[in-house]
Amino acid sequence: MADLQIYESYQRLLQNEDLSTPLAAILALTEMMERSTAGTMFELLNELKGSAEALSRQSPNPIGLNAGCELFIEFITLFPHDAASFSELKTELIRQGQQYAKQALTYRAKIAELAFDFIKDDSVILTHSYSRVVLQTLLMAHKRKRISVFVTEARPRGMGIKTAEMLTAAGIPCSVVLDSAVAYVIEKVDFVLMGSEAVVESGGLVNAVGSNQIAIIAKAANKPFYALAESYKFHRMFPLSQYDLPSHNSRLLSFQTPSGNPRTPSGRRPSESSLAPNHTASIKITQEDIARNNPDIDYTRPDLISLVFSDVGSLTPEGVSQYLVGMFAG
Amino acid sequence: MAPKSNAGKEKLIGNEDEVLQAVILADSFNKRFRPLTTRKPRCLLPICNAPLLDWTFESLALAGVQEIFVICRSHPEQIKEKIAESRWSKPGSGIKIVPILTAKETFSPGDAMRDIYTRGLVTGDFVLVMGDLVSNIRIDEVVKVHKERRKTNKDAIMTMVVKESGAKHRTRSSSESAIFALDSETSECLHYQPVMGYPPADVASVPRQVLVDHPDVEIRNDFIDCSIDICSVEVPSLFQDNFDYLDIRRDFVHGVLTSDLLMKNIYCYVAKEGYAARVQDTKSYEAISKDILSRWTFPLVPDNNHPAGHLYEHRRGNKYIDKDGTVILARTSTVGNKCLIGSSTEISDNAQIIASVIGQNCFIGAGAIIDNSYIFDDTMIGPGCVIERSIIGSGVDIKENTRVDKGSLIGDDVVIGPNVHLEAFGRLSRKRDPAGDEDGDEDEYTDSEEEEVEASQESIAIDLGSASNAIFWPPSAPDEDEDEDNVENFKNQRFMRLGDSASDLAFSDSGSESSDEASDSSDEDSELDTHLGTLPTSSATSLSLDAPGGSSSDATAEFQREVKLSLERAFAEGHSLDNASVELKTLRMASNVPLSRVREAVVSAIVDQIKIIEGGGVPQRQEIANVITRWGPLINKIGGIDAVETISVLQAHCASSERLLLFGQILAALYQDDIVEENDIREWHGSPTSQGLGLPAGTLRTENMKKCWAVGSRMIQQFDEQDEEDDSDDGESEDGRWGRRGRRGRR
Amino acid sequence: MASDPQSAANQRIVEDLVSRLRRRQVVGSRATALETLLVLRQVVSKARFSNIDQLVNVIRSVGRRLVEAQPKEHSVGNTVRKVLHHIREEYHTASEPPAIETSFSIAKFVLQGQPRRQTTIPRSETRVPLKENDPDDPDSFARVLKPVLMEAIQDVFDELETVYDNISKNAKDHIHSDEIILTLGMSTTVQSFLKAAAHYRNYTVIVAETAPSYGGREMAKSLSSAGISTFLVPDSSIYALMSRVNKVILGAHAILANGGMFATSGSLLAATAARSYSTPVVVCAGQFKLTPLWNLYHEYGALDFGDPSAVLGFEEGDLVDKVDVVNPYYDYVQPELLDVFITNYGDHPPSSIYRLLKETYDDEDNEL
Repeated sequence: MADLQIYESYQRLLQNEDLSTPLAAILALTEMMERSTAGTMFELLNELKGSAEALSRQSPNPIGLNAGCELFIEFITLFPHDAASFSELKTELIRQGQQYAKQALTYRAKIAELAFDFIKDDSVILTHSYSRVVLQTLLMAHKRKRISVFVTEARPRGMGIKTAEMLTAAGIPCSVVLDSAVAYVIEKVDFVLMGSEAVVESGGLVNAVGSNQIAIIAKAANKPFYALAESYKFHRMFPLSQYDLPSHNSRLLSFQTPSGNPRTPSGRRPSESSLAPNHTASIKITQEDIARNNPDIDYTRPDLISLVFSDVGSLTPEGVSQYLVGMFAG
Repeated sequence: MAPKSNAGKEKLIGNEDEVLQAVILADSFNKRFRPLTTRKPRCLLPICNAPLLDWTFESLALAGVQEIFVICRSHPEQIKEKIAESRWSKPGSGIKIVPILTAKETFSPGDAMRDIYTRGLVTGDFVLVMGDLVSNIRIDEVVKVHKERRKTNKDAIMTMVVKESGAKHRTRSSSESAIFALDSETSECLHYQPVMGYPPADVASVPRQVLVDHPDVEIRNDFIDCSIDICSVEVPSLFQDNFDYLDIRRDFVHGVLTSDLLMKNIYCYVAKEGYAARVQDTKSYEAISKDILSRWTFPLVPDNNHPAGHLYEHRRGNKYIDKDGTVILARTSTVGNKCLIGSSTEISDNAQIIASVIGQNCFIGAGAIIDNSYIFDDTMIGPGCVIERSIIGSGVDIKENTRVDKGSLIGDDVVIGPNVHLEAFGRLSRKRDPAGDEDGDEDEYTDSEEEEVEASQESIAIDLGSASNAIFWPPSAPDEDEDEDNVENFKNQRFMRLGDSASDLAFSDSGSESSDEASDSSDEDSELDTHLGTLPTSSATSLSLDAPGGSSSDATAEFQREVKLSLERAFAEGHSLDNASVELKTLRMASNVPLSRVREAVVSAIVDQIKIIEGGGVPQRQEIANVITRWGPLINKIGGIDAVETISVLQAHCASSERLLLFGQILAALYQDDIVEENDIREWHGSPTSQGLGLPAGTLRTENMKKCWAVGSRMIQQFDEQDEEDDSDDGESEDGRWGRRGRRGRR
Repeated sequence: MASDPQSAANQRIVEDLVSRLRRRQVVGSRATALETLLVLRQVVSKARFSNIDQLVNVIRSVGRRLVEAQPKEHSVGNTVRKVLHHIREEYHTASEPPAIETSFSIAKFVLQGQPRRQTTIPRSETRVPLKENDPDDPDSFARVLKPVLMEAIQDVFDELETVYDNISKNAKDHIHSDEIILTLGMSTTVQSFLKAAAHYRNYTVIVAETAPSYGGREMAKSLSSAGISTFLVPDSSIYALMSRVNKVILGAHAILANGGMFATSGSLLAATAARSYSTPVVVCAGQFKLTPLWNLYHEYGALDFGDPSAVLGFEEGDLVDKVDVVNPYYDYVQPELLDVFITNYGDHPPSSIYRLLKETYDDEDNEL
């Protein structure tokens, strides 16, 4: 019941265009605390952890909210207890959470300003999918510098089209690039600007699927690859490959035995059967099938990233871990 | 690697306990930038968005100058104000700047120098520059060299800084340059000859004496004269003594070098490193702007040490855009290479900026093309305008679709357009306010030229657009009776004009180029003259042998008269030789005549002093001997000894006076008194002019010349015969013969 | 304050250095660092302040002025940051332990990590109490603190003085006998490093002449006069020779926060060539070259361009009009191309430069 409730409030909070998943998660947790009847710190923490887990379980892409929950819970754990009563302490913690969420909304402007210096006049920028912080940075740069932007389509959700529409509305010359045409366009690009779901302890980046291949292409073409990430997206996680991400499950990109063809298990090779003309009509692969079968996010290795711009400063990928260590390793 | 530091410099100056002073002549003394300079002195015109004066200050500061006097003439209050509000007058600038207002009547650099002298501004060696200098030369090193030289040679009064460049360098003025003859070893300047674009010089003449005295002479026609002079304190006083020196180069340098009375030396410092040039006309304005943008003036470049303190961002391709982020470049605008754009300037869509400098707070309309032009602050260029190789003043409003062709100058606050076409080399300025709200103070400076232009407006039918407040300056036409020797002559001015290639005038280009190479490599003393053109000319070292009065101008005649009077006084009052010679020198300096003229005057005066004694004979000879013995040595005391010339002069004088008959005897007397030697007589005798060649045949004078030559022949014959005969007898008989003929001649 | 003769004197020495920096009369990282330090020492000794913020503001404003005058000499800003760091440190040890921070927030938590337990060092000696903003005696704070501050600045000074020795002291561990070393440009740090190694090892140096400044010629002369077997080669042969080179040793103009560096033009060429032969690239640089800034123009150099006269003579009249000459002083060398930085604070791989920066400077001073 409580689990359902928290997911509902999380979803409601996400309706707010400005709130990103980690902040929505933090706010959802504060709402939960308001409802909570826990009498001790220990109980409260347990409840929080439970809710966080429930959130993570119900969300299809839990990475962002995990980062938020993790930060908030760690903060509460370490909060100096010198309040007179527990209820007072709880109010204070709720206030802190709400205050942070409010404050964190200014981080994008801060990041935009940091990245601004790196954007030269007359530059051509490649970005991927839709990211609020990238959008804000581009809009700010547009005020004083002449920029042109390539946006990848970012299939299957096509969020890049949304970015392109917004940039065009703001008067920024913008062109949508097929995900498969990135290598084609990279030569014209000055640098890549990438938003993020989370930045992990290795300094690597978790972001909408396709980021990794763009980073690899950028590296091959020797173009700088900049990631933009608010500090609440720093996530204590150390993935070594794509398959270490929590969003991965065995369904994704697995090879399924074609169910519509009974002869496959027999001695015939499947390729032969699919080549047979009389079968092509019967097997239909829909876009939805592909989308369902594909990951939403991928992981980009730190060595492909030139810099991470965050509200705590411009960091090398290695520099991110320092903050995570500061928070989580006592 | 960055240039090496010169940390020891400050200490050095401190040790010498002497403040390095500089004098800036902040006036151009000409009108080449008109009408941009009608309401503003030239030194406040911006180049690369900083006033010229600031570039000059920075150039001097770079050299460690501590005290600067700025001599201003036109619009002094503006200059004063500018200095007061500049960063130089803030504490910590380390430089004291004193503006000096000089009188309106100061019309030349020479006048300014005299003013410096009267005010007693300078106390030691000082740096003299013009107010339009852009330089990064280490002037302090030149000063060091200069001071070192002064220790051994007190007469080294000045060191001119020149910069090597090709003869055809964009920064080198073709209208106003010079040929320098330098001693290769000491780089003493031995001869200076100004060269103009028009009339083109074909020949550079180098005095023979230069080649005699110096084994190694370089004749250079590839210097940019930076007008940076390290002057000793005597220099202003020399100007004071010679009130007719106007220009520092043409008059002063030339005067000092040709004068053997002053006995002063001028040296050159050939700067191998560094950059220095003067914005002396609109053409060099363009060249220097380009040099600055191409970073030749480093570290004085817009992104490093901009004299006005602006901060520019240097982008690839030598583009400089103000750093404060207020520049608005429309998306579709293009800014080409070598451009400078000041703060708060807006470039609209599809505008093109090509190799141009644009000031602060300007607006360039959509689709406008600015090509190789220089636009000062607060100017609006309407949409669709085309500006080509022009200078546009500040606060100008050029309305839409106006075309400004190359070489145009548009003065401050002019409004023109829309839809007009300003032809090449057009010059515009704003109409003066009819209400006369300009206070009387300013009226003083509005000059007659502007009034004239204004008055002539009715006669000019040129459409400057409906909203225009401009007056059109008619193109200056070649003046009929213009003196072509003047630097400001029309054709020569064309070499100074922005955008004018003057190709129709520069006909001897190829010739000059090839001969430059020759002059560069020539340090053999056999090279007597340097042909700049292809036209063959007579030997430039040949001496002027014109008879007195033959071609002398009024000034010379006046001088002759003065000399005569002076000598008569000397003869009458029996002055000593020394006193007489001092008097002569003073006279010579006052009228600035060449030495040969003095010789002529002295010889003729002495000859005229000899009384003609009827009957000749011994009394006559006695008279001659008396005069020559008493006054003959004076001939050699006027500042130079040239016995051959003395004889020639004597011949010429005798040939045209009644003392023709005395020629032989006077010559003999001079010979007796060792004023002339046997060899001199032979040399004279051998020269073509002594035989009267080149003079119109058949005239009395030519005949007389020939007679004199015959006398000389006889003398030489006598020398040859190693005469055993009685000299006096021979002389007497001669005397008689000549006497008779002479009388006949007079009838 | 402005009428105060002392601050006027301060202003004068600051302005003096400003104009010398602008005019490029003081150049080179160490020279500028020393000059900056001298000015700061003067400023601190003359400054009037009654609390730490005032002092920091005074130093920052001076620092800002100097950095603006010559943003391309990074060691100016570095020196200012370093002095500020030392001053804060001195202040913290001198002042009473601050009251326990009550204002703890998530933002702070992210920034500073877990709250530290106060480790108060028991003070045995009775110090003069450090009183800020004493209304009766506004100078007391300055009076007490100044001697310590001057000492701190002196420490920075000493470090600069001994920087070459400290970098070179381990030279023999980096250079082995019979190795062939390639270097270029004229870097005093590299020069003293190589000379120090020459006391123990017998090795060969190949110096690229480094046109157009030809610093390499100077370097070659100096090395061979120290008895090191030296070859001077043209820049164009760097790649060809690289197969025989055991190590590339370079100097730096500034070490950037991502572990890249600005170094004499030609360094990128040498580093790239070294990469293709997997030859290690070693950078010798004093700690004052550590710069908490980035190369904003990732793909090109330091944007410090000199005059073209070194490349093309001004007397080439005709060409001057037609040819644009680019003469950059520095290359930007990416961290991937470098293997190790040898500093007076030990040896570091490029990836740990950011940590070194954290230790050396305070974050709040990155932007002066």
